[in-house]
Amino acid sequence: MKQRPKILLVDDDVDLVKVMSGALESKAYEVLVAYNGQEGLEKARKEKPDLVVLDILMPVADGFTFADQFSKDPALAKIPVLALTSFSESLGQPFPFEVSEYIVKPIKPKDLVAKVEGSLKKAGTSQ
Amino acid sequence: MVSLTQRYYRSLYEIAAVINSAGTPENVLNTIVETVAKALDVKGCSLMLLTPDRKDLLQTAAYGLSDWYVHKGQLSADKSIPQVLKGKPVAVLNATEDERVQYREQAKREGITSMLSAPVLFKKDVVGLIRVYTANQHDFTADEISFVQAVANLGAIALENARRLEQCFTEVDKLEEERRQFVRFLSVVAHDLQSPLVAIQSLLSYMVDGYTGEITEGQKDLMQRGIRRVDELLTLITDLLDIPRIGAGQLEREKVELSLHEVVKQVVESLSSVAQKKGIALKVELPESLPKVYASKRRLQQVLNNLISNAINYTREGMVLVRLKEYDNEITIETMDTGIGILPTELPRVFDEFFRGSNVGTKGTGLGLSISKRIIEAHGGKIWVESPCPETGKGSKFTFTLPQIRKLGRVSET
Repeated sequence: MKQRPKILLVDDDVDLVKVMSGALESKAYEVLVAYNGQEGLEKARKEKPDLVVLDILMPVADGFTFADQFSKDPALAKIPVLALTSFSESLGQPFPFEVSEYIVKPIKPKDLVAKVEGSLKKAGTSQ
Repeated sequence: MVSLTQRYYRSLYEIAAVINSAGTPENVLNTIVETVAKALDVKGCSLMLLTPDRKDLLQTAAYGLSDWYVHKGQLSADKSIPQVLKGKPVAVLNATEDERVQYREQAKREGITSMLSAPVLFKKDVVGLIRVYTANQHDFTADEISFVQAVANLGAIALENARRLEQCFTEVDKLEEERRQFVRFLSVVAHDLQSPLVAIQSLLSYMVDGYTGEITEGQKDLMQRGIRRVDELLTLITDLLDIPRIGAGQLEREKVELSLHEVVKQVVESLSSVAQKKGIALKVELPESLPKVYASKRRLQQVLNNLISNAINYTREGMVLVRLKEYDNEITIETMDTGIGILPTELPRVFDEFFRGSNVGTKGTGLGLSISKRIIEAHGGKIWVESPCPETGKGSKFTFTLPQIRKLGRVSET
């Protein structure tokens, strides 16, 4: 049997990370955290998570940079990415990469859990 | 045979055409010297302009002369020039011997015999001079001199036009760049203002959802009130910072071919639970097929969301109907309700920024409809309101149009 799914959170907002990791851990997911895109890429390569929750606007390698390098890495490209965005941000720039799901901020913990479950199911990695 | 006068007229006409063609100053001056040389059937022609400090002349355009001759040396040393700069044409019969000419040797090597210099005048000021060179000795006639003079003056006007036009282009580029910078600045402001609010909301939701343990109904109620107030502030920030971003240029890159069925269905679906809770029937009338539109999906969703949620918000009972029609090369989208409607005196101000109807209290930011109007207009459409709604006899009816895709060419002309 497969061990519990590993979720990588990439977000620079400490409070949001607290909320998201709390909600996901309560559902028995293993949660890894990275506070910028660069750190996120390193952790993704090392840990091979089952899903990435990615904030789009961050200092040090933003979500776009992260996703660009992420999708070019054959070892990572198949991992589903759930993009966090605010309405006004998402209007400005169409995403140049494929994401399996969007969450428009503010994040409701229950929605996040539901979307993570949905994306994992679609990718064939449910609990 | 073409008479000399006819040839002159034709040349003047050609030069006038160049002035109208809005070319660069370089283009205009090159055309002038070439046209003059050809019209007079002489060896060459050149045009020199005074530097802004009026101390030096710059060889600006030349035709029929070698590079070597053009760059022979400082021009202001020539003794024939001061007189020309005072506004009088000067003809030199033999440039290789005349004492007034500074570069006699060079003229000889270039094969120049006679020379005519005429001032270039702009409004009464001499701004430069035009010079005509012949290979054989030539006594310039009064007609020839006045022709050269006329061309020179046309040239000055042309030059000024071209300069001003260039200035305009530079200005426009600068404004465009400033606008782009402003929009980038707004994105940063939006992000920085929203981030803490988004975090507050998520923290509150986290508690409301019970992740930190059981909370009482009273606590839950207060936290939800907090969430709603933060929500108001978030909407206000988003709306305010959104307005300058809806310039046509911003929208352009978001536009795609779009089927309205899908967009309308999505928005209606997302709002159906709100309508249901209030006991209002939310109906949609879609024709089986509709031509596609060229539009920003998110922006259209924003407009539809605004109009339909307004309709639901301001209707206590009855129904909200969304109807799409194809009419006269346009697609018309109507939102009708049986709600409180808009006072006749307030109808003209409905799309104004920060306007709120006096019968709706303090709900909303007063920006939604003004943003919708900007979005629709940036798509080449129109939006208007009627109250009461002609179909239901009460409430209001908002209508907006979008051009069909094949009519785009015509729309972009307006």
